[in-house]
Parts: sequence; C-alpha cells; structure tokens
Amino acid sequence: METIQSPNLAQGQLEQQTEKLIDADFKNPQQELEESVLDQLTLQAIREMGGEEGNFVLSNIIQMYLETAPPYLQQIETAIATQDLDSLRRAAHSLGSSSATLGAMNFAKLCKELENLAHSGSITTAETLFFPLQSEYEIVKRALTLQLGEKYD
Amino acid sequence: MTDITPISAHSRPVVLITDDDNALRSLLVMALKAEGYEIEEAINGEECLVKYARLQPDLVLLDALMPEMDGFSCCQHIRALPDRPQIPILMITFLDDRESIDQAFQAGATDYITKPIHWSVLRQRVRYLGSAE
Repeated sequence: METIQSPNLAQGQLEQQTEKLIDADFKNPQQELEESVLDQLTLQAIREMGGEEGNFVLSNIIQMYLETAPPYLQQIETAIATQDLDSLRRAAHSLGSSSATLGAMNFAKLCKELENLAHSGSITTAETLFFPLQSEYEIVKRALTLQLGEKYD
Repeated sequence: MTDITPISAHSRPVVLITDDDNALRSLLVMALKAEGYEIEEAINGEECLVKYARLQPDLVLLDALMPEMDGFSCCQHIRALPDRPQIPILMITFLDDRESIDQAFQAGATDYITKPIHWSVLRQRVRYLGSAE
C-alpha cells in the first residue's frame, strides 16, 4: 500500500510543526488559570516593590490572605443566615479589599456586589450570591496556591 | 521631585498609615519607607486618633471601612481638631466606590486612592500632598 507524503514536509517535520502549533495555541493550564483569575500586573507590582525579596514578599502576602479569607467567608455565611447586614457589609468589604490587593478582581467585584447589597438591605439577593462567591474563592485559592508552589519549586 | 518639609520634630516626614488589613498595611509600609518616610501604623480609627495626637504626623493615610472606628469618622475627628486644619488626609476606598468617595470628601479628606492600589499613583499622591500642606 502506498503512503501519501506531503510534498513539502520531510518525515518527522509534520510532527514538529504540529508540536509548535500546540505550544503556541495552548498555554500551560497552570499559567492559564493564574492569568485568568489574578491580575498579573498587580502581582508583578508587589514583586517589584520587594526588590530582591520580591517573591518572598508576594508569598507572605498570599499566605496572609489565605489565612484571613476563610474566616471572612464564614462571617459572610453567618451574617446572611442571621440577617446581620452590618456584619455582612464589613466582612464582604474586608474580603473584597484584600482580594483586590492580590489582583483577584472578579472575586473582589463579587464581594463588592455583596457589600452593596448589604448596604441597601437586600439580604435575599445577597443569599443568592453566596454560592458563586464560595466557588470563585476556591478558584482564587487554587491560583494563589499555584503561585506559592511556583516560587518555591 | 518635591521634598516634603517635615513640620514635626522627626527628622523625616511621618506618615501615619491606618488600615485593618495586615497584608495591605505591610505593603503600604514597604512602599512609603522606600520613599524615605518615617512610618507609623494604626489598625483602626481609634488607634489612629491616639497616635495622631502623640506623633503629629505630616500625612495620614486612612482606610475607609475599618472595625471600631472607620476612616470617615476618624477623618472627621481629625478635622475637628483646632491645631492643624490643613493636615493632608488621604483616604483609601475599595474599587471605584462613588458613595465612599463622596463620603470621604464630606468627612474632610484631602484626596483618595482606590484599592487595588496603583503603587506609583500612591507614591506621587503622597509626595504631592506632603508638599502641599
């Protein structure tokens, strides 16, 4: 049986070309997650501020965030359950602020939405935002944890 | 570049940074120390007022929403003091929150910056406000 060969590509070249195309079109999934969830310029600005210790500074900030975020999420859940608008507003504000500092902008905007709802007294609408908030936090946490791993690999 | 002339007894201009977020506060400290300022920290409005009276800083950086006493109330308290009506107060708001920005100016803030902080904007604004008093 005859094999049809491309007139312009020697054997093995087709595979090389395909690999190049794959590399160009698809980023490493880890890199893709970090870039879609965390604003890279914000993270870079923190690294630059730390100078030679930039990665260490950023890792410290990430670790502080990962320690403080879960209690705020818990406070938000409790505040929604008990309809404590003031506590909801404060916890959503604090969580959003610290998330924005690390460039987690989608998550920060969700927190801001929740803060505004608490401010306007819309506890029922706030309740519907809690699940998306929790899901987005898991994504942010994963992206930040990957950042930590990357720096210490 | 304009230097800040310290009006207090400190050798370098003193900035009193007030924010309850430890991570952000440590970044603010790092950013402004690198610019040559002497830094004092407070974690809420009440502590800010106590330190303000003792240290007489050259500039106050205030987060808008904090536990115990928020930045708006703290700003009003400072403005109610008779001794230094022109002390620059830079308020920090979360995202572009129009209501908080309006509230900050009503409370007597000199200017505001938003979170996430654009660090070069912060440096320029602190430098400008410090030289303006």
